[in-house]
Amino acid sequence: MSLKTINQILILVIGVILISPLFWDFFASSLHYLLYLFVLMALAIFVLYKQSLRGGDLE
Amino acid sequence: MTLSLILIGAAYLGLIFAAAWYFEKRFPRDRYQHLMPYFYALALAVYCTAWTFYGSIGRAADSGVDFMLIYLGPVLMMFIWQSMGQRLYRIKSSQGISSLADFLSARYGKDQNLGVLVALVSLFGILPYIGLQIKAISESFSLLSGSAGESQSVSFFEDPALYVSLVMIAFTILFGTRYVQGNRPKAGLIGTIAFESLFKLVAFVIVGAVGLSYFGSSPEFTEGLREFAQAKPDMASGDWFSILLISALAFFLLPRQFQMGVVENNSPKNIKKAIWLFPLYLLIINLFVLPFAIMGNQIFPDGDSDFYLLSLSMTYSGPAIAGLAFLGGLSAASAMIIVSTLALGNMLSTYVLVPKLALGLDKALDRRILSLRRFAIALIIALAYAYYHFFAAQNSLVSIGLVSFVAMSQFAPAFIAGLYWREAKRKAAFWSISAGFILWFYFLVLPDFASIAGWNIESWTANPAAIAQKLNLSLLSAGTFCSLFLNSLVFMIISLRSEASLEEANQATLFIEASEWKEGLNSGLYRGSAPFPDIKSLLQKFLGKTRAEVVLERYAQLNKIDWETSPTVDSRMINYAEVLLSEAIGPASAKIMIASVAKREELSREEVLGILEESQKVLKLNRQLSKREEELHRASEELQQTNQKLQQMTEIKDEFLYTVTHELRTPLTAIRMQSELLQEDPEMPAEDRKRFVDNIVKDCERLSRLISNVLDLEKFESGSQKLSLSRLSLDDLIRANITQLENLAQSSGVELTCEISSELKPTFADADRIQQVLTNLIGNAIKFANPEGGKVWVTAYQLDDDLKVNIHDNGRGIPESDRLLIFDKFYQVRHQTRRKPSGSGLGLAISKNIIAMHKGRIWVDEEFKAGAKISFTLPIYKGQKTPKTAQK
Repeated sequence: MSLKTINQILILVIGVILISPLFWDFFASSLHYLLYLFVLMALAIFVLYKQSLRGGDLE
Repeated sequence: MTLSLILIGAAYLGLIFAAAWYFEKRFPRDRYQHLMPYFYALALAVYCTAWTFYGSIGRAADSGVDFMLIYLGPVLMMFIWQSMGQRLYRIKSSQGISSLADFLSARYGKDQNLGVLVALVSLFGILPYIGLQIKAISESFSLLSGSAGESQSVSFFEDPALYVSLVMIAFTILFGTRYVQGNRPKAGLIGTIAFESLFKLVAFVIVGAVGLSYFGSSPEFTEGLREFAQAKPDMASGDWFSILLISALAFFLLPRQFQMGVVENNSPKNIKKAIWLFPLYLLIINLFVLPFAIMGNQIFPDGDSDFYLLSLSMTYSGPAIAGLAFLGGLSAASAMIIVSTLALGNMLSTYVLVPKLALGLDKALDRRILSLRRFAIALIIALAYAYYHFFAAQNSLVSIGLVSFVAMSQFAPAFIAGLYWREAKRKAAFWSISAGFILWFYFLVLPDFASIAGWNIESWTANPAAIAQKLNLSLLSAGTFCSLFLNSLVFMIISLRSEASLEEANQATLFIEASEWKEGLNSGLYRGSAPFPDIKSLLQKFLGKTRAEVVLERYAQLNKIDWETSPTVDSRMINYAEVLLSEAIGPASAKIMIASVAKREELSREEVLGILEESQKVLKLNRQLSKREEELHRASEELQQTNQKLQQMTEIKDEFLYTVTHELRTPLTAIRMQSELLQEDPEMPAEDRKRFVDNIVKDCERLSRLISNVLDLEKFESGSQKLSLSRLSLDDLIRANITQLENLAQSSGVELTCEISSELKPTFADADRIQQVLTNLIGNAIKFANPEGGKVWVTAYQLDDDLKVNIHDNGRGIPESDRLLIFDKFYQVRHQTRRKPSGSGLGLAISKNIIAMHKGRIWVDEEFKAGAKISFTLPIYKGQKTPKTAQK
C-alpha cells in the first residue's frame, strides 16, 4: 500500500471522527451541528479539489 | 391541474427521449469526450433519487440532522475513490466486466453460482427501492392533482405510475440495450442521466430558493427554527454509525452506482474531476432540506413529511413552482429506475436467463441475448410496479432506501477483500453473502412481511425486535451490524480454511496486482491455442457477424496479423476473445465457451506470476524505449534549434562586420582624402588648412567613438561588462545631464524642458552608465526634434516600485513598423533611406543593454503620436543591497 493511499485512508478516518457523536457535546443545538457538517463538507470538497489537481495515479 | 400535470410530465419524458437521441446521434464526439468528466460526475449523482428530492426532507422533519449522513458517507468515500476507482477501471477494461455480478464472479474464479447469487440478492434488495420510486411519482402526482388519499381506489389503468413505468421500460430498452456487449459506451444513456441530474439539481435549488423567499420571514418558520435551534442532537450512536457506513458502501455497491461509476466510465481521468464535483453536487442539493422540513412540521404537523416540498410549494410558491418540484422528483425517480433496471437486467439476463435459455442453442445468439436482456428489464420494472401496488403503501421513502442499502452492503466484504486480499476465496464469498443476506431478510424484511401476512413473530424468543432491544440498537442498526458481522466472520473463516483453485488464484493475482497494470493486463494468462475459424464463429455467434468482423479486423491491424496465413490463434488472442465474450455473456459463461474451442493448459500460480513478471518487464522495456525515443527526438530538435541559432548568429556577425567596416571606411576615406590634399599642396591657405585639420580631428573622434561603442556593445553582449552599482539620485543625474546638453539644444534651436517629481526616491545603479543612456536618448531627441520650433521634454516620476523616465520630442516620430527594431544594432545605418544617420547606430542598442542589466525596461511609447517618446524604468533602491560591482 503506497504512502498516498495511507494518507487518503488517514484523512477518511479523521473525517469520520470529526463528524462522530464524540463532538456533539460541543454544539449548543442540532442547528449548530448541522451548520458544522455543512462547513466540514465544504472543507472536504476543497481538500478533494486539491487532491484532484495533484494528478497522476494515486496507487 | 391533473391535465396540466399529465401534459408537463409527458413533455418531460419526451424531452429525455429527445436528449438521449441527441446525445446518441448528434452530439459531436470530440465535444462529448471533452465533457465526459462532467457527464461522469453528474451521472454519479444518480445516487440522489426521489428519496433525496422528497425523502431527505421527510427524514429531516422526523429525525433531525441524520439525513446528512446519507450524503456524508459518499463524500468520505471520495477520499479513496480516486485510487479505488482507477483500480476498478483497469479491472473492468481488462476483464470485460459489465456488472457487479461480473466483477465478483470474475474475481472468484469466474464462478457462475456466485454470479447468480449476486444477481438474485441485488434483485431482492433493490426491487422494493425501485417500487418506492414509482410510489414517489404516483403520490406526488396524486398530491398535486388533488387526489391524495384516493390512490388505493384508483383503477389500474388510471394510475399515472403505470404509464411512467411503461415509458421507463421503453427508454431503458431503447438506449440501454443497444449493444450486446454490456460495457460498450452508451452516449445517449450517459448524456441523459447527466442531464437528469443537472435538471433535478436546478429544479431543487429554484423550488427551494423561491419557497424560502416566501415563507422565510413568516412567524411559523421563525418559531420552527427557534425550536430546532434549541434541540440537541439526539441520535443513537449505533444509528449514526450504521447509516454512515451503509451510505459509504452504497456509493459503489448499489447496482446503479457500479453501473455509472465503473461500467460506463470510459477513462480513469474522469474520476479526478468527479471526486470533488460529486460532493459539491451533494452539498448544493441539501441546502434547502432543513428549511422545508422545519416549515413542513409547522404547517402540516399531520401531513406526510416525504411530500413537504410539494405541499409547501403548492401553498406558498404557486402551481408553476409546484409543477417544477414534481418534474424534479420525476427526473430523480426516472434516472434511478432507468439505471438500476439496466444494471439488474444485465445481471439477471447474464446469470439466470441466458445460461438457461440461450447458451445451448446452435445459432446466432446476439439478438437473442439482447431480447433476453430487454425481457429482464421489462420484468424487473413490472415486478417493481407490482411491489409498489401491493406492498409499498406504508413505508417512507428513506426507510426503504436504507433497507436496500443494507442489502447491498452484504457484498462489501467479498468486494473489498477481492480487491486487496489475495487469500479471499470463492466459497467464502458465496457463503458470506448468503449468510449476510439471510440476516438482512430476518431483521429488516421479515417484520414487515409478517405484519402484512398477519404472523405474530413477537412471540418468538429471538424475534428481530427483541434482539435489537437487547443490543440497545434500532432495528436498522441491529440488522446492519449483525448481518455485516456474520458476513465478515464467515468470509474470514472460510477464506483462511479453504484452498483456491488455480483459476481462482490466477484471477486473484490479476485483481490484486491491478494497480501495477496501467496497460496490458489483458496480455493473456493462457498457454494454449485454438483454430482461428472456431474463435471467429464463437465471436460471430455472440457478438453478431458485423461486430465480430470489426473487432477481429482491429485486433489484426494492431498486432500486424494476417488471418489468411494464421490458421491458429495464440493465447493472447484467446484471452482477447474471452474478454469480448465476457462483455456479452459474463466471465463465467465466456470461460465455458472459450474452453469449448481452445486447447488450454492449466497454469500454476508461479507460472502466472512468471508470465505477469515477463509481461511487466516487456512493458517496462517498452516504456523505457519510448522514453529514450522521446529523449532522442528532443535532443535532435534541440540540435536543430542550436544549428539554426548558430546560422543566425553567423549572419548577424557578417552583417555586423560589414556595417562596422562600412562605418569605419567613411571617416577613414575622408581623413585620407583631406590628408592627401594637405600633403599635395604645401602652399594651401592657412584658413583652408585649419578647416581640413579640424575635419580630420572630427573624423578621428568619430572613429574613436565608433570603436568605443563597438567595444562597449561587445562587452555587454558577451557578459563581460561590469557595473559599478551604488545608491544614485536619479533627479540629480538628469539635471546634470540637461545642463550638459543645453548648449547642444540651443545650437540646434531646440527648447529643452525638464520636469522631475519632487518625491523621486533613489535607485541602485551605475551612474556613468545611466548618464550614457540619458545622453544617448536626450541627444537623439534633440537630433530628431522638429527643425522649426523643436521641443524636447524630459520627465521623471515614481511608478509603483520603479522610477520612470520619459524623453519625448515633437519631431516626425518613429514609424510603427520600426518601433521594435530601433534597439537593434546599426538600426540607423540599415535604414538610411528613411533617416540620414548622424550617429554610430549603436547608442540605443547599448542603452537597452544597460537598462536591462539594471533590471529595468526600455521601450517606445506606442500611444504617443505627436513625435517620438522613449521611456525607461529603473527599480527603486530598497536598501537591502550593498553597493558592489555587478556582472551580467
